[in-house]
Amino acid sequence: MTISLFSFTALTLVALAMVCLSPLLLIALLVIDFKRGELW
Amino acid sequence: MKTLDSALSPGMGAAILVVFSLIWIVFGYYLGRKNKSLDDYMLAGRNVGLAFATATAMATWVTSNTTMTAPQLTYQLGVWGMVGYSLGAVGLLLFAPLAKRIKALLPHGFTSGDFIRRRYGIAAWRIFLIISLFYAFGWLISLGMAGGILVNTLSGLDYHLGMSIILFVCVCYTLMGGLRAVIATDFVQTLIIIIGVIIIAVLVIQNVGFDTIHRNLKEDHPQLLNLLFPAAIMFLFNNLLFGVGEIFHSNVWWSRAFAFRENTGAKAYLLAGLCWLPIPVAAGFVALAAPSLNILVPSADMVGPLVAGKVLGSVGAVIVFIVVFSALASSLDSLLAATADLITQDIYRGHLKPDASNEDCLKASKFVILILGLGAWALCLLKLSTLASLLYFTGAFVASTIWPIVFGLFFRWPGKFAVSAAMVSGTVLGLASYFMIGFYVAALVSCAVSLVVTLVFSKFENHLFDFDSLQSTDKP
Repeated sequence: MTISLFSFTALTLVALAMVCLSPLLLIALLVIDFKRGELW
Repeated sequence: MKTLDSALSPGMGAAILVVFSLIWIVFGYYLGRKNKSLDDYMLAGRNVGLAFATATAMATWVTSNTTMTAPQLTYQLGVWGMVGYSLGAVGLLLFAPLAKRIKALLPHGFTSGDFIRRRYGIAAWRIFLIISLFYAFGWLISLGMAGGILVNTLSGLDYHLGMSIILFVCVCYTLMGGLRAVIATDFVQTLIIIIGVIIIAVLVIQNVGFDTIHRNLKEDHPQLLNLLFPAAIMFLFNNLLFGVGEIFHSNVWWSRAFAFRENTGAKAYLLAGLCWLPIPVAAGFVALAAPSLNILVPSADMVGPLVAGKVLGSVGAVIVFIVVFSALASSLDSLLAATADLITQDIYRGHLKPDASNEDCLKASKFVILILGLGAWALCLLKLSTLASLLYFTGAFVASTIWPIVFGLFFRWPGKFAVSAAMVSGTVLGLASYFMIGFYVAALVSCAVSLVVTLVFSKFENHLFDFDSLQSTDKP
């Protein structure tokens, strides 16, 4: 059973979109922690 | 078909290594100045916030094995290879409730060994230490070798030189800054890794395209798109259990659970798992473009850098070089720090000098980091095995610890003898299956055997543990 072009494309693009959101999340958390004085 | 020459000149490779090495070392030195006590050095003051906590959990799990072995396994096992590798995130996700429980049960704990000793006694503790230290050395050697291979593949610099520089740099800044330096550099390294992976994946899609990749694979390598590829499906479950075993037992993750601020551990591991989940797919996907690009891959563990170099030329090679160097450093530093903690707390204070003060342990910890670096360097010189086989060899060891840890954290019934027998029998039969069947079943067998032995033998022991006894601050 072969994965279809559509599923293969969707799998990769969804993963890539999630990867793109990660740095934004980390920077947002850093700003919040910094403002609260809770970095360390 | 043709192989790809090194896309970077040795001079450029050396320049990148020197620049980033200086950045990490200066950063480590700066952060190390704030360390005053053993808690500061080993556990970053036990007060790490959510941003640093999430980034360090994620960065440590994004190793050279994610950026180099994920493409390798995708190249060998196809779609299931990259999906299977991404299930390594399950370990991080499942560790979230454990991290909360660990901090609550052992507020003054230092290592995973602390828990095993107090929960299961001396015999189980020693068996666990053998497993944990064997795994730590396996991972260290795997990372050191990956560093040498990366440098050699991308820039033509000698394997031994690249490996030596990377180990030296990580030892330097971990030695100077302790866990605080490790965590802060992890944050920066995480951003570098993610951005690099995004750039490479997007440019592979732009230059080759899904349609071309899919069509070429269907014609020439249909097994890579096969959803019923038996070895790949076994790999998927094996990798899931291997990842869970690695995270549940390793002091790399336990020391972070102790280091994170109150009520932060569970959130941090959950977020890190969700952020890590797609990275092997994005990093592994590029390997499937190799046939479309007419790249002859001399060794499967080089496929990722080769594809990136082919598609992006020298700029791509620079990006890959920086990404993999960051990934290596983010894991090597964590492993050095956590293994040094384990040896200091459980071997030095636990076995050799029970009356050692915190000041003695601080000195011993620094000495151990140095010795670990030297030991790893000496073993990496031998270049023993391919990255994946070395990594999966340890799967038989770590998977045997999953149930003793999970049951031991949450239930009173697991017995001392039962978990000792479970770890030994799981490891032995896991290793037997590794050699008799293949690397993709070692963790599965080890985990299953350990589960059965823990359950059956605990029935016979008929002893209920008192969790309040874990709260004491006694030394080993």
